[in-house]
Amino acid sequence: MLRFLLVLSWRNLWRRTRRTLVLVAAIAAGMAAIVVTAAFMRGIAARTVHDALANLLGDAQLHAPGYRDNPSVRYRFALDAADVRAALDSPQVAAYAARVRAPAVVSSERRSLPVTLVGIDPPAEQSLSFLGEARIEGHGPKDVEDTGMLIGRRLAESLGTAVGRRIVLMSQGEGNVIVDRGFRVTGIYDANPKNLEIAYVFTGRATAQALLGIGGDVTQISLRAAPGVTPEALAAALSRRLPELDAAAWPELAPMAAGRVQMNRGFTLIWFTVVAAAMVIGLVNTLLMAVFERTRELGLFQALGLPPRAIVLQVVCESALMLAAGIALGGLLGWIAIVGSGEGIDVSMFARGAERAGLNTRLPLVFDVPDLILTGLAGFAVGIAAGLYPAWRAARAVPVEAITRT
Amino acid sequence: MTMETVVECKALSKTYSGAVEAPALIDVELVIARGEFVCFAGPSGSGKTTLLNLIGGLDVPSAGSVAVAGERLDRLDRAALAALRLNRIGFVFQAYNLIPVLTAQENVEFVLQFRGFTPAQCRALAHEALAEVGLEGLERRRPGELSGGQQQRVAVARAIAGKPELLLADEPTANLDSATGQRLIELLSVLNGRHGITCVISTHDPQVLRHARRVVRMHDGRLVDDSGPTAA
Repeated sequence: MLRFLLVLSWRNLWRRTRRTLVLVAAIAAGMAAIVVTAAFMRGIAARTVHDALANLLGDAQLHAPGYRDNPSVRYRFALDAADVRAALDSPQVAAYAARVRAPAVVSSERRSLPVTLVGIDPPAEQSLSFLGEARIEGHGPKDVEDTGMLIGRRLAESLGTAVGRRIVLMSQGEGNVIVDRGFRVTGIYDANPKNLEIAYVFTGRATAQALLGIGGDVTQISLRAAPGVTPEALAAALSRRLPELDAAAWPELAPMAAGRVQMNRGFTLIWFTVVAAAMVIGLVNTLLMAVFERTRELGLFQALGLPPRAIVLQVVCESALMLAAGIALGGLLGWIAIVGSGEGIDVSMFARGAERAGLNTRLPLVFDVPDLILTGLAGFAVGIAAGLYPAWRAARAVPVEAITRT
Repeated sequence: MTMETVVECKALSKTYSGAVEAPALIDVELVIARGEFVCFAGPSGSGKTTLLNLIGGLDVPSAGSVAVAGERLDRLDRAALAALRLNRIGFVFQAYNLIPVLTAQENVEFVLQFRGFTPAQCRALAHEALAEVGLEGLERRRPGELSGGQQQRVAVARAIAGKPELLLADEPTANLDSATGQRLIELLSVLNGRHGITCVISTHDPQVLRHARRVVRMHDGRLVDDSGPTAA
């Protein structure tokens, strides 16, 4: 019976080819719009998280209590402590980078600017901070003992300096002693977002420790969570293992970025609802028209004694075939649009202010297979539900009224 | 001889309501026995089609009742009424009402599918019915590829394939030329005799009336003359 209904539905679709194609195109456009929008929203969220995490954040961080309120080397801790090492080697941690961070002033012969001095272990930074993917003119620190300095492009331009030239860095060391030292600029990095380029200068961790007089201590450990471990879970695990330290997940460390991600999710949901509602209204309208056009035929089915469920099933079969075709086509079009956008949509034409502020001007479209599957299934379910109403109406019509309608 | 009743109408009335109420059928009392070949005759607007629709459960009476094969239609729910039409009644419409996207064979099989026959049984019964109405060799043609007479014979094949107890035909010859109409009514007459299917036909075609063994004449919604029950 179902096979027969499917055959009948399939042939019915091609009875009015133009109407069928218009409806399939409308469903496909709705589906493609949802897929691309979802990718766009995911891209914005991913970019927000990326930009936040690129700010040397990581999934979670460890500090000495008090450091987050007053980022001074006074609030530091020993990297080599056994409990710290054990916590860093736990399975929840995929990677970490221990740093010395201190507010500083960097000066050239031209001007002085405030920066954050970061003493790093270069190999450890590769997978954790933007340094791993930044383009560098010259080179950055090669190991913890490196005495060269890596600075950002915009900072270099502001200072009027270049690779090979010297700058002076001044900060407050142990006991609030003002310390300073000359550094040779060994590298200039380009970063995205651009505001990173004026924020940070990098040298070897041991060099920073020696300058600040803090022995082997560090002020910050940035961590990346193992797959399947959320930042919050990682921070909680670290808190349990290291109760004397302050462990926090990135949303707590960067609440503005976390808020933007949350807001994005809200916008995405609203947009989904609007597009889905438009799709349902269009679908119900078109299916109603399709059913009304065939009132006489559906009345005939009733007259011949087809059970009401068979009439509903027949209309639903037609909806299902159109939905399946439209959703598959829309998914494909959406995927092509996303892949075609390459590294993302360049919004610099519309966001010059953002570029000047050092924000990212390329918004990536992030294709997500579960998004596609969920959207497809939801669209199918909503479409079938939308088709049920005209089907139900068709099944409840008085046969003679339907059959004599012209 | 006791004749088994197939259709029984009691005080049957139908009024179409709209801007003005239009009585289409007034207080009809009618009994049709198994195997009869009955024609409802009368001018347009006399209530023939309305009576046929009410007997077939295609419309709802304003008053009175219809019983088919002992079942009061007003006491059946939508599904039970559909089942009664599917299993016990065959319809032939003036406008053929074939499904245009299905072949002749499929049009006949379509209804059988819902009666629980296996696909092989459906094929065999459809083939047999089409052969019986003289359409052997045309099974794969769609309605658009058949003449009016051939389409009406497909409709007859669809109506008789499941061996119904009652065949209702509404002006079956109205859209056919006289020769084709004559052949069709002869066919219905033969099927009535061969299978004992009770045939009820609404018509104002004299050549159809000539084949009727019982003529029920109607005028302005009233049954004005009935030649009386006759055994097949």
